[in-house]
Amino acid sequence: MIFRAVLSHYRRHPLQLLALWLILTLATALWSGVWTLTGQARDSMQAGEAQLSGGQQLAPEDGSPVTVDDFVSLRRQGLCVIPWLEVAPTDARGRVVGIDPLAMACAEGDAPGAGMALDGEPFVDIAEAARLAESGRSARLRLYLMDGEQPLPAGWHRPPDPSRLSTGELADSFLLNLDALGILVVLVSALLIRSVYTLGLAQRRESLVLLERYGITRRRLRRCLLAELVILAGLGLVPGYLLGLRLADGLSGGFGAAMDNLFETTLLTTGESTTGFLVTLAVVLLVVLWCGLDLLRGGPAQGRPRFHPGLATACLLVGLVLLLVAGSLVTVFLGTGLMLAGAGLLTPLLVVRYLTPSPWAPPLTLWRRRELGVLSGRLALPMVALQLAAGTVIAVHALVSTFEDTFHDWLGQRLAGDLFVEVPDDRSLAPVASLLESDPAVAHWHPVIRGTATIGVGSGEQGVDLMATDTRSGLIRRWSLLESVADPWQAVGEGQVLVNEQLARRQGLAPGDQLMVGFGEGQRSIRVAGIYADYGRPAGEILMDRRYLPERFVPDFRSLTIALADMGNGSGTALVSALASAWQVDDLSVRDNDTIHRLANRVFDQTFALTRSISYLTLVLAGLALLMTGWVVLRSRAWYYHLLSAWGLTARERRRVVMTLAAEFMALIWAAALPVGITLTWVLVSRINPVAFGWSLPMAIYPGYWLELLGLFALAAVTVGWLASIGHDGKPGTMPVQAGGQER
Amino acid sequence: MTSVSVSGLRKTYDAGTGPVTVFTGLSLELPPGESLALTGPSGSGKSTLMNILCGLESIDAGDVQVLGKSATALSTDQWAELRRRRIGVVFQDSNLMPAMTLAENIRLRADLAGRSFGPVNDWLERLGLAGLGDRYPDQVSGGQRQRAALAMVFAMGPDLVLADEPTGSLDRHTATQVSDALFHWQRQQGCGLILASHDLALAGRCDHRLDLAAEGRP
Repeated sequence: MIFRAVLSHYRRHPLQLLALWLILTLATALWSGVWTLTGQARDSMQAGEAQLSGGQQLAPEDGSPVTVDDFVSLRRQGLCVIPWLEVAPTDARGRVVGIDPLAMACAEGDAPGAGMALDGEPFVDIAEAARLAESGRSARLRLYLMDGEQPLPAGWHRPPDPSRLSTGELADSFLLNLDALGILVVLVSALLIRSVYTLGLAQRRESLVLLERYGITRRRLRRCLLAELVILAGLGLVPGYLLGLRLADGLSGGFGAAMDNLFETTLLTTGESTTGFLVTLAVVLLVVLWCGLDLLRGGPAQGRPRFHPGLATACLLVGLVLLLVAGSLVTVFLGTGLMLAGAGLLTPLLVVRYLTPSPWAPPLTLWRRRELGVLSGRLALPMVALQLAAGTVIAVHALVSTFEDTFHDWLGQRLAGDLFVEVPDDRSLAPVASLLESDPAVAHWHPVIRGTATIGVGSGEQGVDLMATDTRSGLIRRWSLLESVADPWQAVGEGQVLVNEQLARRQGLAPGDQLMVGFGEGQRSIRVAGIYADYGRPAGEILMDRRYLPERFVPDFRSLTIALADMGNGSGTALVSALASAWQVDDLSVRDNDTIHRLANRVFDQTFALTRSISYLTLVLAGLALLMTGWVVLRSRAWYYHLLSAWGLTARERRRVVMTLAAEFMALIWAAALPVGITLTWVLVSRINPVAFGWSLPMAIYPGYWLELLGLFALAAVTVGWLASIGHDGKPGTMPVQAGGQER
Repeated sequence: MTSVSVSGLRKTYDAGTGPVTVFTGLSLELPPGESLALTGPSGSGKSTLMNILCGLESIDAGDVQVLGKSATALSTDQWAELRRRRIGVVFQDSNLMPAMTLAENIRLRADLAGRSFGPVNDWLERLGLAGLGDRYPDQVSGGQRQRAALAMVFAMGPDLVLADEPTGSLDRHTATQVSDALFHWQRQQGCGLILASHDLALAGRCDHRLDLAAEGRP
């Protein structure tokens, strides 16, 4: 019976119950969605490591590609060698790895890919992978030796694997980034749930006090309220969790592609898991307990919001100092957390205490400002949640836009040609070089030779990608460099190398440093002439002039980049035919600029799909919570807006006053979100991004986007103001029960 | 010209469970500068009539004249203008904006009425609130809050004051202080006063009295 009396509040305010349930459900969906995706990413990374950890890669010493004949020959020599056929991704399908379950028998379960389902995620039977390779998809066969103690056969060595050696630290940082995003989402939504709940509790104060007067102990009331909270959490948990799985499923496409592009790791979509559900349950219970903490401590009746100026300032200052001096990603996150906490604690305080108007301001303006102070105090939690969510969205937008602009310029430099022609296997460049030089349709051209080299790291060596080209080409010299010695292209033309930013950061290389580079036939000490930006992948890379490549260097891939004098008159088709004829092949693999641009842009979109989606969803959740709480709070002030009518304000004037009030409140949150957004942008581009992805970006801000966000806030303000003013035109509001008590 | 004149007033409203008829032909008259007490039990329509007389509720039939204006002829904006400049309204409680000091509340009301708010402190003093101008409503007693509400009303120099249970939430002693102030300043300013109250002693201090339980009821 007592429980029914406690719950009777929701019979009178069903919308409030719905709002609380909705917020709990949506927040649970966000947590479980982010948790599921990060869990999948972590599992995928670990599976990727495990797949490769069983064996050591073998490669011919002369650098020639591995063939099926090599595999047969090595097995005949008694070596436990496992084939691994990797087929490159296409628009329609991700990366596929062909493995041979029969060949794995000798490895007794330790083989790469052993125990994995052959369902295309990413493993398939090697026969199917071979069929895909034959159908035109680019593929590469690798061999793994399972017994590391066995002596290597003549002509074979264990090459360093660039992808294995370089991505580990980056992958950890990437996962840490996702975890940080997840924690931010939990914090913001926890603030929202708490604010919606405590607001409801404040409205029930009178009836709870009445029950106390009827002789029900405060302890019993608290137990009832806690039980109500747990039941509500339970009702929100299951639909929220299921919704989260759907959310993860919806985002997994783009996210999986991003994982593939960034780390060559296929996302293992494992669906629902008991752990995921238990973690979500634990988070929901923690948040609910946090909401109920006041109940356990002091009972249902709470006074005005409390501010902690000392704590807020300390958090902010320590956070900023940590961000400035931090050397590791964990410290950066700690500093960011403290900075956000400080900003969140300080904002309502600043609004309430320091936005006081002059006592000589027009009385109605004075009233609006004072009312703004009341709203800021009452809505402090959802206000801070929206401030942090908006700050995050501003920062993520700045990061993505800066990357978009930088990436666009960078891509323009890299894809300066019109045609990209793959050089057929076993064909030399010589027959086509004279043709390209003499063809008037060709404005510029240069060959690109890609392969693998090693660099000396301490006492060992590490594999890196190698790109060799004609550095005298006008197309190459358009590249802008992040850092360089004087006249870097001249230096590269004389045998020095350029390194990509990822490699420079990882190895601490600067222009002028010496680098030991191995090409499979001994090492050379080469000077670094400069550092170039290289986005969207983690591998280290060296760029050099092809004239300095050893003659015996065997490339993985060769192509020609051709800029045509005039693309419109079919000269491209004629040129491709002429090249095919010079090489005496029927067909050539040719890609045009547009196709590559499209592919590259897709990679770009996928890279930030998750970050962007989660930050927008958090903003929507925060906005929704603010709409609900703002509406409830404004309605609770309806009597005072009615007083304005009694004092002679017309209905239109009163609506305008309430709407202006709501607009000023939203504008305040927007303004408070800007410094948070700018600081977070700086943290992302200058502190987190270089560690998490391996490359940095310039710091840029986008005031146009701030204004767009302001427009969105204005829309929310109009909605809240309108909701607060409808239904009261011409009618008196309800007089506050505790007049002169807690309304200020 | 009378301050208020009502004849044949009919009013029905929807209570959610069906229409409720409040008045079926109510008539009353209040000469200028005089006071009228509306009495009757809860639900007899005292507050409804007060809302009608200040234009916050409409009527179904009859004739209502307030300060020489016909209620049905006035638009809602014209009613608002009348309330703003000529009609002072006092409720049982919560007459003040809680986030503003007593002085600021008085300034706001005077400003809306287009009056100078220079003599705010004079009005505080006249109502026995000297030195309390910087206090917020929750920092003063209920009686002081009601006197501040009277200061707000009389500072605007009204032609008509509508007081709905102005002492309803006060103890007898404080209620007497507040009603003394109310009648004193009503007579000083020569404005009309309509007072709704359960308190027959208070009603007895008015020049006229109308029992809504007996008049114009279905």
